[in-house]
Amino acid sequence: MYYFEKNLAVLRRCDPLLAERVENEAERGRISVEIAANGEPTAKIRGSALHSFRDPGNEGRNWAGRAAAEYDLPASGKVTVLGFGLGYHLKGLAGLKIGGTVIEPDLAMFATALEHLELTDVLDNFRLLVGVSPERLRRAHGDDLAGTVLPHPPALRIHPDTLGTLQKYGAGVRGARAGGLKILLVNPISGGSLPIAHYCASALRSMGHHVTTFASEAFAQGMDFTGNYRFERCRKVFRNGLTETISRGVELLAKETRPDLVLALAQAPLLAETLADLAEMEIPTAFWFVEDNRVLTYWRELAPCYSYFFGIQKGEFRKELAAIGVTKYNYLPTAAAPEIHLPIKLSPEELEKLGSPLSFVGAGYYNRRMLFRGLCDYPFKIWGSDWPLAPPLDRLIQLNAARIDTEMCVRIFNASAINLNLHSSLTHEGVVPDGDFVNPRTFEIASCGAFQLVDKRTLLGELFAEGEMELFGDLAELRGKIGHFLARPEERSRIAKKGRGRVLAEHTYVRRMEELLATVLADQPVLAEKHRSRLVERERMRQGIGRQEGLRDLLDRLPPAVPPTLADIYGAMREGEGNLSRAEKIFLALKNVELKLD
Amino acid sequence: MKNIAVISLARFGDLIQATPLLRILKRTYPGARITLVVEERFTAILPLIRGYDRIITLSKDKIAESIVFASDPLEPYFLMESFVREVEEERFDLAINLAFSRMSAFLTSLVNAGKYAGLVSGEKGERLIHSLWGIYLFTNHEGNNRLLNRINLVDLFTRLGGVEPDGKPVEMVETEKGAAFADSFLAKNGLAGEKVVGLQLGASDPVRCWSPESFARLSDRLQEKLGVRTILFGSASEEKLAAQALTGMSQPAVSAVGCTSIEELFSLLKRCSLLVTNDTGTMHFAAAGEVPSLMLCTGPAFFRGTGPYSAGNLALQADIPCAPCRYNFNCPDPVCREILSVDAVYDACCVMLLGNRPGGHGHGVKIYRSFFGDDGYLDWQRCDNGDASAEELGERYGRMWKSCLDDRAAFPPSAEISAGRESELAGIAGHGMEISASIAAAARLTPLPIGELTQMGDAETGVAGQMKLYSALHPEFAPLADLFSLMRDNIVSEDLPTIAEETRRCYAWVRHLASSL
Repeated sequence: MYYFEKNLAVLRRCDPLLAERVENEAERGRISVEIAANGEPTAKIRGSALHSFRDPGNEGRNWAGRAAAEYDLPASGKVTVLGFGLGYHLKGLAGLKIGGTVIEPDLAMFATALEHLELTDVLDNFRLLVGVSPERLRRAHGDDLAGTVLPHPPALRIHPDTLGTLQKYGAGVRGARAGGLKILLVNPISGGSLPIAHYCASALRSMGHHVTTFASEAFAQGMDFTGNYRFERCRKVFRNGLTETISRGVELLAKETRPDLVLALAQAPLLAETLADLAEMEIPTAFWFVEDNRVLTYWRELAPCYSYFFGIQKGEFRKELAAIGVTKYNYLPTAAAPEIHLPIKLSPEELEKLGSPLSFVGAGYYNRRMLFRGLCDYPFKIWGSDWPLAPPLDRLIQLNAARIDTEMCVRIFNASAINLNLHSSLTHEGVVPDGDFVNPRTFEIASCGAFQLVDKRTLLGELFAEGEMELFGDLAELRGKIGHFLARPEERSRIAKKGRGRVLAEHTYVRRMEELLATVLADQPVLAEKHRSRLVERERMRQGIGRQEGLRDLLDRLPPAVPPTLADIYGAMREGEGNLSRAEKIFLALKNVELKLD
Repeated sequence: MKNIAVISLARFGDLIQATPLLRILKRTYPGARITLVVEERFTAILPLIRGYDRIITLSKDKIAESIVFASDPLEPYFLMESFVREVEEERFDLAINLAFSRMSAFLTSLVNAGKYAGLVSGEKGERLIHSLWGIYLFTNHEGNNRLLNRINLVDLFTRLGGVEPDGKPVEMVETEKGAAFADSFLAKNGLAGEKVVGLQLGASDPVRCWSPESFARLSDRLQEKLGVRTILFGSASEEKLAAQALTGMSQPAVSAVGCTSIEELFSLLKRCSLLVTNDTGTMHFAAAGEVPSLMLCTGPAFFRGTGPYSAGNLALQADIPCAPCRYNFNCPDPVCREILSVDAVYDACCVMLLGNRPGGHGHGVKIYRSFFGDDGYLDWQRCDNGDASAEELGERYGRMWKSCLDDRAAFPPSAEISAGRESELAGIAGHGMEISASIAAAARLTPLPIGELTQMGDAETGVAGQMKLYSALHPEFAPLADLFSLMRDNIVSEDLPTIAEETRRCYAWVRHLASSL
């Protein structure tokens, strides 16, 4: 007990929330501790020894020494250790002045360790992620997982699904961050998901991946032509035929580019036949379904055809997917693009034109029309399409209910004191009870550093902490909060700032793409190995640049931070002066290599 | 000359056509080491070729694939660079580029050589053609002058290398594996001890192909009337043609289409008494194997430039004004293929197999036989009793190029200008010489007489334009005008007196050549 109280006192100082959980929630006594030959405590779980039964302390020190040598860890180096055990190996690392993060799935294990070993050095030097869900670990602790990860082998044996998967995921994050994957991104033809596809492409490129976009939106006019037919059957035949052609076009582009992954966004025109052909070409496919599964149900037919399926909902949706054979489903909420959704300074004229104490930007869905009737007494501007220009809302609607583009959205968010964010519904009259997924607008407003009042959603709590977002459950609560926050600009600003901080840390499209790619790479050892080899080769080539006459000079003419193509290099050569360098001559020879593309 | 690089990065057939060049270089420079720079996909033929000491291969297909599929542009760069490094390891006395692609020009410019021949990229990426023979070769490659060209590509390669033709054919050496295959093939197909005629059905372009039905009828007639057996040759992609031909035969030929490697093809051809062929690489194999060919010239195929390089071949061409036609011409009615009738081709086979006299002009077909002249060059003589007077200009050109183009002479000898149309062109060139000389003199004055120089520059440009116009009005002089243009384009100096002197030299050459025509 002595150790427990002493350790707990230290823990209260380092991590009071965890200390509280240990005191109130941990199943102390579940794990039985035995005495090793040298008198030190040791333990087994389900017949698997956690530490040596001869000399666990020495074993822990030796493990730490070997890890430090293998990974060339300096004193004050930082690592992520998978598995706490009783803490001997962590004490070994602390003894070498190495600290970092420990991930332990089992609170009871941690509590048992606190009871039996003096762990001040460990508690002082390691951040503790105990009993944190794997999903939260992936979303919020990618940096830890991507760093130097030291698995405690017995812990890995006991928790293969959590710790084992996390280890692979960490390798996947490293791969995702290293860039160099070839991705064919298939856009939807139109709709609200199209900007998300663009954000994804931009994010992937900024991460150093090579993205070929199949711009399905180029066929939007073709799809609009469907409206020229009077008979539904004719419209269907035309639309299906065009979709088949577009889908086949994706396959042809995959043949031309040989991507490592085909990533499709919601409503991308990819048919089951194409997905089967891509599978035959051994190209993994991933789909990010960013819509409400209850409203748009095409996923039933297509989800089983993808290698990986990502969506913005959990619970029942996961079960329904499992029922149709989709086992590789991962929850992946939408996000914001901070380079687009950002705080901007507006002129007085813009503030006058676009600003308002209360604003809403979005389409006029049924529940919004109903709820907003209760806000007509506020200085309130409504922007967006599909709003009826009839009382009582007509005088609030801006620009005759014209569609608002992203750039204007961002300006409106920045110009408004309170941005109202009500998730849409075709059937409810206000806030959707038990509404689950979080819409992109939530992240976008926060990313702009603007203040919002958002309706309660079951998945919001794990995405934003208290103090980062203000919620409402019904009209009365909403009115109360509008009154409160209109009178408190500093409080609005404080909350908005925290919300923006959270978005920048965890809810950008770069983070989402990192999570998506890491999930794929963790599950595709052949692709992961091919990618690693490619990165090794890339590094070797980069190191060789200095020895190539004229090559560094040529590459320096290219825009930084974007993976260049041969076309970029040829373009940069046009800016050169004087005699051709050796590197330029070699590139010119490449440019004139006959490519037989039949 | 101790170290010579021969760069052959264009066609498979170029390697066979370069064998005399290699032979003559070896004889002329006995101590020289000859490095062949070739594409990897051509290396299958190298065991059959002699005359080189070292090979450097370019993996062009691998590089092309990398260009298309690699995610990092440095990947194809380093693939190409590893080839360049291998080439750069040595310093050559002479680098001869037999190809006319821009890729080969840039790669040749990276070869460390004291002297170059052929197309090379300049320091600023400009096109330079080294050697007068290189320029002449380029006019044939690019222009419409090939109908007036009398010099076979093999001889042009030889002259490009700075040596003289020796009157001997292309050559290859049979391998044991090839010989074993060929003997086995003949035995298995009941052809051992038989007189065999090869039929090459395909070509790179359908327009150069005699119809498979015609080959079928020829095959039947040869077998029936002359008692020979026939073998079909071709690559795997020509299997459809083979099937068409076999369907039309009453006595099937033996098909070796798609069955042979390079060495096996050569050995099998060597065991034929005759090859009846479209204009395609197989006939070069036959020439190297001392097997006479009967070349069927349809479409743009023209025996004089690229016919089989050995004596005793026959070439048939339709006696119509449009034959041969120009490259890439989409003919709506290729009658040339019909005019080369089975009768005409059969008769020509009898000439070659039985020693018959060539048929009269009645078939509407021109017949030519190849031979080596006293000067060592390959030539073709019309032997169907038809009127050869239309070929006179071409023969004059042939004599003129051979005797006048001399890379050892920086400046041509001055020549008497005789009367005749050539004298008009020579006169224009002479005027160009005068103006250029004046520019050179004025450009050395201090201060520079800018106004005068500008006027003289305009005048020189006018003369160059006159020459172009003259050749447009009198296409028979286009080869000379084209040579002049290319020589003028080759001037890369930025020093005005030098530019003027070089320009004068270009005019002097045209004057000399026109006077010698």
